[in-house]
Amino acid sequence: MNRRTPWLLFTLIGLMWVAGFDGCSCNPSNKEPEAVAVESGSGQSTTVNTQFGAPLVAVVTKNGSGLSGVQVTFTAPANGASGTFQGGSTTANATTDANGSATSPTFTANGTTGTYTVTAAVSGVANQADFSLTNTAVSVTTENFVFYASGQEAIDDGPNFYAVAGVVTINTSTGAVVGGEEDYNDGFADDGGILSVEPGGDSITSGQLTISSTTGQGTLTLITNDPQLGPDSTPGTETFGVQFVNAKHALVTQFDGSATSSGSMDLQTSTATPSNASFAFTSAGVDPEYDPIVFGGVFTIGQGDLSGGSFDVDDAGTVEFAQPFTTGAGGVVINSTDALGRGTVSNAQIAASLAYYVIGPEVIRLIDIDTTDSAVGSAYGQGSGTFSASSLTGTFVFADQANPWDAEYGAIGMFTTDPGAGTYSGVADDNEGGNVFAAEAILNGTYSICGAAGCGGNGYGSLTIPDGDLAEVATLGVYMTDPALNLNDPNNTTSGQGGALLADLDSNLVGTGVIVPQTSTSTSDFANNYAFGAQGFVTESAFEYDFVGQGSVTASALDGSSLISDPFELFDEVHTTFTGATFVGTATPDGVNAGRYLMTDNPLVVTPPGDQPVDFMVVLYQASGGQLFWLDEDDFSLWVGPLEQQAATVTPLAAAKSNSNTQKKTTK
Amino acid sequence: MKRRFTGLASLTALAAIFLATPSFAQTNSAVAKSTGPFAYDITKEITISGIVSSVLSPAKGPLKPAAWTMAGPHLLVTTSSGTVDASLGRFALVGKEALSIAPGNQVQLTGIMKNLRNQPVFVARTLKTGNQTFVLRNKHGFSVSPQTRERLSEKGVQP
Repeated sequence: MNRRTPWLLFTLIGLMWVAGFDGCSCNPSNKEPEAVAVESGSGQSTTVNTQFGAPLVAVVTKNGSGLSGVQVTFTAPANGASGTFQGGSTTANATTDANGSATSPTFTANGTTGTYTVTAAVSGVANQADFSLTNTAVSVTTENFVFYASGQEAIDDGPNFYAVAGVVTINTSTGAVVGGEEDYNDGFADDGGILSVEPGGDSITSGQLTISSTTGQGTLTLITNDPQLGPDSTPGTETFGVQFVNAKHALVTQFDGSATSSGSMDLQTSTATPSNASFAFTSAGVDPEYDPIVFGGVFTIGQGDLSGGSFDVDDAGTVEFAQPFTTGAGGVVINSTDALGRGTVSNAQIAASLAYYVIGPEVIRLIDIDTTDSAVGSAYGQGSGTFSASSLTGTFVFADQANPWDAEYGAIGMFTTDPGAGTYSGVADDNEGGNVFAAEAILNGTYSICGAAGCGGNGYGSLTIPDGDLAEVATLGVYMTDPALNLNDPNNTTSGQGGALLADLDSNLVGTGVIVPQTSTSTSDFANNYAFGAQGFVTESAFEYDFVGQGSVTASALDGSSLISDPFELFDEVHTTFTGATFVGTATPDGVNAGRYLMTDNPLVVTPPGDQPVDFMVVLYQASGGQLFWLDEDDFSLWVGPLEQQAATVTPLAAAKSNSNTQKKTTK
Repeated sequence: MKRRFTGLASLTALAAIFLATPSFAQTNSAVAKSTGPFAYDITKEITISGIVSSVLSPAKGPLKPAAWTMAGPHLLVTTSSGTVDASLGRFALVGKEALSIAPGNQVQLTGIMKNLRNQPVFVARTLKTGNQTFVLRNKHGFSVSPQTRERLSEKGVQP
């Protein structure tokens, strides 16, 4: 080796260092990455507007080995289904670690559903890594509720009779109304009245259920495709006041100043067309001459038609009993339900055409959809058994209320039967147009339920009150229902079952009602929280007002709050609705008739917000701790309605249920 | 808290008028057997004539004790036997083809007499004034509504 050799080696080593020699290459261009690929995070999915569970990770390599310190740019689509990285941008940079891995910031799906690609790119690298991601729709839980009501319409040159029935689909997470159908009929569409577009009915396009999680009280707004409905200021939009008794059942009244009514709303458990089953029914409304009319009877559905049945009718005082339904071909035609459980009936005899809404296999709401008449009612299944006088064995509470069109009256009471003799005895109260002729009236009369020998035990019957014992209430049609059904709360399978439907078939009165078994008269059972409501009339004008409310009962004292619907401005001349009207009164046992209470010495004091209090003299009859009925016995007003004990959960809305439960735990 | 007695003075005055029961012979025998306001026995109908002295029509709120015993407008009619409180049915003065009546009009009423809350009231089924006859109730006592009037009028039929 000559003396120059060491300097040559030093020079070579220096050149290698300057070139960045790392033992793998002596060429500077070999530091550049060759490829970028997906390491993890592809193939994920999440619901819209939520964060993906794992980050997107890309790996950058050279000759199969990871390169550190390399910047990677992640890019999501600018439009359509996509998402954003932390900070809100559709792009983000990350630098590779010692293993060559670059991890994106958290990535959140936008509001559009679909599958898309997020790319990872490195400067100078020809390929890019593609991450496939999917935004999925929010999982929506919905429930259908069937509603119906009847009362007096203030729009369309009212007062007019009107009936409404429908089904509404509610998102139980948010309360949003996501669909539905309804029928509205004021009975004179042939001459300027309001009838939904038939035979299909109106569509409910949207709306909102807003209720308190602790009281179950609130409003249901329905936005429809029919501009005839609702107040003139919001064509097509109806608002109902709702008072939930439990998560499946509410009392309702129209609550927007356009009309007022009373009815109910119940969870739909079936949409199937009823077939091969027997039903009892009542229906009330106006006839083609706009006179009040009521029907009651029994029928058996075959396959799309009726195989038997008969009905009573009281048409403004003209009464016909046991009119046979036309069966088989040429008779009543029952058309199939749609996806929401709405169907129609042709040649129905009690109307030319009906629409019906299925709540469950044994509960159906009916509405007349003719252009010249209107009515609404219910049909309840009769179960598999047959009926006789023995089917009404025991003690019962009844409520009988006028058709909301003319001759306003109300009667409630209780009676004990002797099936062998076909007799009963009891006590009742009655208010006819503000004339209380029968307070604590003693009843002794007869009843009959058609037995197997007479009519196959189909549950058709009657109850007669001797002339004058209960003023003009004397002749009642009785139609037996399935002993397993609760007539007020048809999804309640644990209490309050059994009874019958009533039709008032007097020459001076037209009305409907129910008979329910009395299982407790204990004052201690009349306690805790109750939902209540009533359909009322001011006696001088016979104009209607309604209320639904809720309150606590402690030592028979009610302390409640209510929504009052008053489109005819009967409480004052300013408001058509009241929210937060207080209802305070003490129900005192009458001392003679267990189960009968009076709010007279301590009347029910109703105070609409901003108005003077109004005292109401009220009588109550207790069927059980779960349900009672009350009657206003004033001269200026009369009303009839139910009180129904509230469940622990008083809302169908999932979020509110959770709050409700939490609150109850806190309260305890 | 007590029920408000707004209008009590007018109620008292009205009651005093009602209690002055007209003394025409047919009244007592014509009072319907049934006590309810809606009971109507057409076989007990009578006809009375007189001059309208007042037209009483229900007002909007506030809620107060009922001034009269049957829903809807009433007429106070001066007859040869005294003043009669006549119920016209709830729809007589509203809607299309409503009755137009004023104090001073001569009227002839067909209906039945009742006692409600110890007050005599004439439940009118028809009212004739001039050459016009208005049907106010049907044969069972149900009020004839504006819709009914119009429909039957179109058919050329008396309600």
